[in-house]
Amino acid sequence: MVILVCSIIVFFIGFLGTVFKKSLILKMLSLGVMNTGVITFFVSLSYRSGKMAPIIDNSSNFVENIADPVPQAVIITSIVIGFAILTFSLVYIMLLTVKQNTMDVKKIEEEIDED
Amino acid sequence: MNFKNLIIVILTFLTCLITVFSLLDIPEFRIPFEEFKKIIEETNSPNAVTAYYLNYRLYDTMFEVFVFTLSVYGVVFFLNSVPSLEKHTPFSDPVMTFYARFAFALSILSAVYIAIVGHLSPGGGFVAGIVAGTGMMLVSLTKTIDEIEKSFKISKISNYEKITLLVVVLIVIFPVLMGKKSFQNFLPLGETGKIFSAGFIPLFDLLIFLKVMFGSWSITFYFIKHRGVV
Amino acid sequence: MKIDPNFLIIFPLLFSILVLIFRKHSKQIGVSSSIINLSIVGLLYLSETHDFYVSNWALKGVHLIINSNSKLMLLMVSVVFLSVIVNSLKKNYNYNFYFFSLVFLASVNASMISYDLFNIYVVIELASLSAYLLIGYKQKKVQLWASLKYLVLSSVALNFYLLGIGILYAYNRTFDISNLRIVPEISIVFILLGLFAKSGIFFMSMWLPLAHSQAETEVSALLSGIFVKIGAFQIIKLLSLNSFATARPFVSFVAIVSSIVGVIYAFNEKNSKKILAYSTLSQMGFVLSGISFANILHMFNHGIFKSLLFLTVGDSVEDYSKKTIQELKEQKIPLLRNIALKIAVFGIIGMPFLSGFVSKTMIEHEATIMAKIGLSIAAIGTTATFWKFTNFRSIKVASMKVHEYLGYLILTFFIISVGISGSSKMEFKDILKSVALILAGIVVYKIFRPVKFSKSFEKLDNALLLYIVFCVIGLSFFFIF
Repeated sequence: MVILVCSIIVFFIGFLGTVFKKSLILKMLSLGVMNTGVITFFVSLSYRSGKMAPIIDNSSNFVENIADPVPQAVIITSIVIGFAILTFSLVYIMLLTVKQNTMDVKKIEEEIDED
Repeated sequence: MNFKNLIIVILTFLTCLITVFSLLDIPEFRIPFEEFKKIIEETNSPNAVTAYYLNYRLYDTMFEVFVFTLSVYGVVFFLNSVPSLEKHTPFSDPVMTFYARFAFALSILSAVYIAIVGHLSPGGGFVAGIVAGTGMMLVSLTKTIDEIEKSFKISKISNYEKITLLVVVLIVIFPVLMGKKSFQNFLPLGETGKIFSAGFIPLFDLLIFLKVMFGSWSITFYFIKHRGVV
Repeated sequence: MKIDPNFLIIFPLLFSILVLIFRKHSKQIGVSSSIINLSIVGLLYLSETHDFYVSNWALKGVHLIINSNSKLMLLMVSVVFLSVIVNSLKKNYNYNFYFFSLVFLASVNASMISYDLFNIYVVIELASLSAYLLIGYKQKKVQLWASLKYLVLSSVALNFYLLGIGILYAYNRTFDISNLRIVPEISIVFILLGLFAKSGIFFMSMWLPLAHSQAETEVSALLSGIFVKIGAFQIIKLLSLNSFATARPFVSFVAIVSSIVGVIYAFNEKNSKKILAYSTLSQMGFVLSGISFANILHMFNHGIFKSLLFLTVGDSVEDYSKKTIQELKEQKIPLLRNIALKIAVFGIIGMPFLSGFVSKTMIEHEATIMAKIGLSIAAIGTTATFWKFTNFRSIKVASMKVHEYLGYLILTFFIISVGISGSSKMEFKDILKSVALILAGIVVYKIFRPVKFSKSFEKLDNALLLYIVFCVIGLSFFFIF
């Protein structure tokens, strides 16, 4: 339960970061913090139903109190998506900074508006 | 702190508080023992997470493979328009060079192991691919860009990448030819606990491993080519 | 003939890989795959309802349903995609465009038939990833910024969505939409936040005006015609459940506010593609004002005529490289393109015997009194906005190639045929009413002059601030009612 609450708090800290940070790179990192909050939330959800990994050993003993396999299996997809978005956004930021010489969101928006 | 920022902080805090309170009455839940047993017996994979990831939710996983592919092609497509750096300074320290290559061999070995036993123990294709990709990145740091580009061209990475992708889609559609529905297992289940068991799960682990390894290496290569090492 | 519905997803993906392998023939592969997609949709359209799990054993896999609503959406997607691809033949796009757009097609098809909350997240992310790449395709400065802004806004919103479905999973232990029993308010708010940000509702998706107006012509048509429908269709899908019934008045309130504010911004805009983008915000308000068949039909119609508008206006903007509507009016545009543009404009303003009239009238029949007033104001505003597009002068072009106009022709056919077949059920009263609304719109167009509005909502930080404001408003709505 503590982990569940902590993951929610991390999520909203990440959200505040995306709003307040001026630099694009820091905004992306805050986005990563948000995503980590959600991932922790899912993982701790599967931890609530039991503490053993949902794997049987070679002697074929079925274990009691296993963790829920579903949330931890689906969240891998979210991790991959987070990775893809991070690589993308880094390339985009790179191209923008080559053309604009700044990473500050406000400066970029002012220059774009003039066009 | 001005007025607007104060409002944002208060509203976020409020939402956070309400979310936490709404989580307090989550019902308790235990995985029914029968259900777990049935998953293992049906897919013949001792690792229930892999069984779920690559069998019941293969549909999602296929999209995930395409998410990864799209990010690789996006990076290549956008970085191609940036002029590449003229001067590259790879790490030339002999200690660094030796240990990077040593770590590369180690990481490839462990990656292959993780990939092929993904259905028996913790592991799987994506993790293995990232491990191998990291190893390749270490080696790339110690070589000059021409050497990397040469090995990139000789090994025909991009062709293998496409073929892997094609094989993934063809395997998914193959059961239709046999009169079954798509996304269903068509390989024999085999004996529990062996490497060649659990239907197509090890095959998919291997394919995703190759795909992620090639993809992450291409990303690293293009980043090094256009932005330099550090 | 029996056909596996998963072909809808597998064939576009297969062809997208073929594009990568045979790079020189990417145009031919693009056209043939969109024709194959259209024929698969046609076969599915004739067959009965499909309701199945992708892997149906001990644990249920992904739940997919193809019912009459999703058939209509699939038809819209395939028709718009075909005409966009045909229109792209006359330009020099390379294989990357076709690769991205085929992956986009597959994920859009998947999102229309999916009944699994997590699968919806994955396919929306895949569609968005291809949309980011398509928006930034020509790598102009503005396009890169539009794409990056969209990336930040959409990823934040989708993280909220993911948190929402996580909370739903904690209560129900399933991601299957048809098995949800306990639905806490907080998860409804988070899920709606994520989907609203995708579906083009004013105040929630402020990435839209910049992205839709700065992207290439074909990409704008894909985005405005198909992409915003993904989120809207999921919202309608969820709201038709009984467990989400409490959110219906809230959603229709937000939608009607969006339809009015969007049309005000559209009327006061000068850039011709931005007018169309703001009008998309307004029309999506029409779409989400209810959950009946009329709304689905309006989504279908909007997809058709908005993509036709974007194709015709965008082609003219490209030909003369004049952006504002005033400069564009001084040019002469080819006759057939002008006719297609006029039909699309008459469709969107709800001229009788065209498609917009049918769905707008049906929506108004089922709306409440307050909603009727709001939607009528928005309809008058739409006419006032689009009347500028009717007085373009045309020029006769001597040499005409078929593939330059085929894309327009396909879309025009659907506007007219839906309009004529649907108008037979309408009464004379409805026709009079819509003519009255159009005349009122023309009067508004003659009287009012565009003024400049503040666009500070569209700044990245303010758009993010609106998300959390939406959360609080939504939660307080649920506490009050």
